[in-house]
Amino acid sequence: MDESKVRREAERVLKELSEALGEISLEETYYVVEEINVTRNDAEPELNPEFRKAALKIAPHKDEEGYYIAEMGSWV
Amino acid sequence: MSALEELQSGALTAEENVVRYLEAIEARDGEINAFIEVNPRAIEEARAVDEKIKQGRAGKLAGLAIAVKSNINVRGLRATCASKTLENYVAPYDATVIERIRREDGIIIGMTNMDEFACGSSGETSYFGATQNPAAKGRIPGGSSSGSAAAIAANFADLALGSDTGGSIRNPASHCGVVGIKPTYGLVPRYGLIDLAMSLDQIGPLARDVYSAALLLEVIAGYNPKEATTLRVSQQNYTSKLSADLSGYTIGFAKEFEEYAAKEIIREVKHALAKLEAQGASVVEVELPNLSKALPTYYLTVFVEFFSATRRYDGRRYGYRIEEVCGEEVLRRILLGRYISQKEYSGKYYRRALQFRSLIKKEMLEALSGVDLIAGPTTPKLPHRIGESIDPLAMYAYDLLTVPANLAGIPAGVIKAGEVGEIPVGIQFHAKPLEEQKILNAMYALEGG
Repeated sequence: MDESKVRREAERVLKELSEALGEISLEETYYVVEEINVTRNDAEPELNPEFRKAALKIAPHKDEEGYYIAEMGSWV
Repeated sequence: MSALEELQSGALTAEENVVRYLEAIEARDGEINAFIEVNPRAIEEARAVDEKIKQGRAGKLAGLAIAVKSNINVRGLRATCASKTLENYVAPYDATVIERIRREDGIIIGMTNMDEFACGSSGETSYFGATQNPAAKGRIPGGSSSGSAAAIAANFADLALGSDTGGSIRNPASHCGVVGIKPTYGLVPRYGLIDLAMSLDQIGPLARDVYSAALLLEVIAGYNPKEATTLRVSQQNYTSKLSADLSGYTIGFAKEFEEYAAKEIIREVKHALAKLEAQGASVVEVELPNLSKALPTYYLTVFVEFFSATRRYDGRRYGYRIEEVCGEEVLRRILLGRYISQKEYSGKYYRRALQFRSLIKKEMLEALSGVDLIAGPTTPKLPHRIGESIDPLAMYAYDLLTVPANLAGIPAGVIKAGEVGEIPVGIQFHAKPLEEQKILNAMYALEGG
């Protein structure tokens, strides 16, 4: 494959498609957002002490201060 | 008598049905190249279905052989996306649509050829070689669901699954003279579909007749709790509502279609519309003034989403690093997607495409507001000869008339309208979101009810 030819064609494709599109000022149509609002409303953060307890309960190792001890990945 | 009727009447067993297709594939697929892999367990699965038929507890697809595009996960079979990147990737699970097909006792007969990673409109970019058009020898079958459409046209399966991002079901359905449906975005679960552009992709059926297409669609459609993008719709039952009576249907035809499609294609589409008028429909003119903007909008969106989707093929998890082994079209789209993503702070390409997407969607829905359906051509030109050198932009132009449905998220279906010099020409119907039944009814009427 001639990669430089593909690159040149890509540049031309982008230029021509962009020119064909022209200018516009409208709201954007975003993926998913129109159907379902998957983000939470902005608010003050809340701490749930039960979550920490539940998470520590299933931790394989932890220290006395309540932090997880995890094995360092062998690839590091 | 169709295979479905034969199976239902007991004149044919599931095993006999599968065996005859396997024999046909063995005898003729060397020439067509519709399949990348056949299911080695298909006969065994058919025998199990025959047992269920005997016990009277078989599902509505019992014994039907179904071909699946190679970008849909079928447990134990390779989902290669017709790319060297995934040539040895064996799917570890069933996509939701496959689970639903199995639940209704359909039999997966094999994985079909396609344009590499669905990047193409001709069926020529596959790592496994181009697919021939069984309905127009020497010409492209269209793409990217080339093998699925060819498998139906060549009588290698009862039904097939394809995926449609910008026309990948409808374009090959038109070129191969079969029925193809792109459902409303969110109607059919995408879980297990290897994505090209996630905001546009939809899985849909290909079949030789409208009833079979409706049957497969009603099996695969419906809400999936695993996906945020599936719509909360109840169980569909298209087959029981199929009607060829189009009294009261108003069908729109946009004059812009005549500007972009070849005269002989328009002639066949108008013949088909005249037949529908004879069956009670009235045809009126609608306007799609920004139709020409759909193609650049679509491609600028696809480049970015495809680039994002391909970042998982880094050579560590799934075989090869995509940039090192892919074909020209895939590489071109990755390069374009990377460039646009890097430049996106300026909002010059992707954000602008998203704005135009709003325009196209608004325009399609407005045009549909006064009619039941919009009918028109599927592709602007007839399929070219395999191997003919085509400029990338000329290749993209095949999608001009199919991309608006994907951008707007609306359903669209294609059925053969006629022939030009023995080359099939498909008529395309668009409807409002979730009005697949109207499309099916219009196609059913055209088929002769």
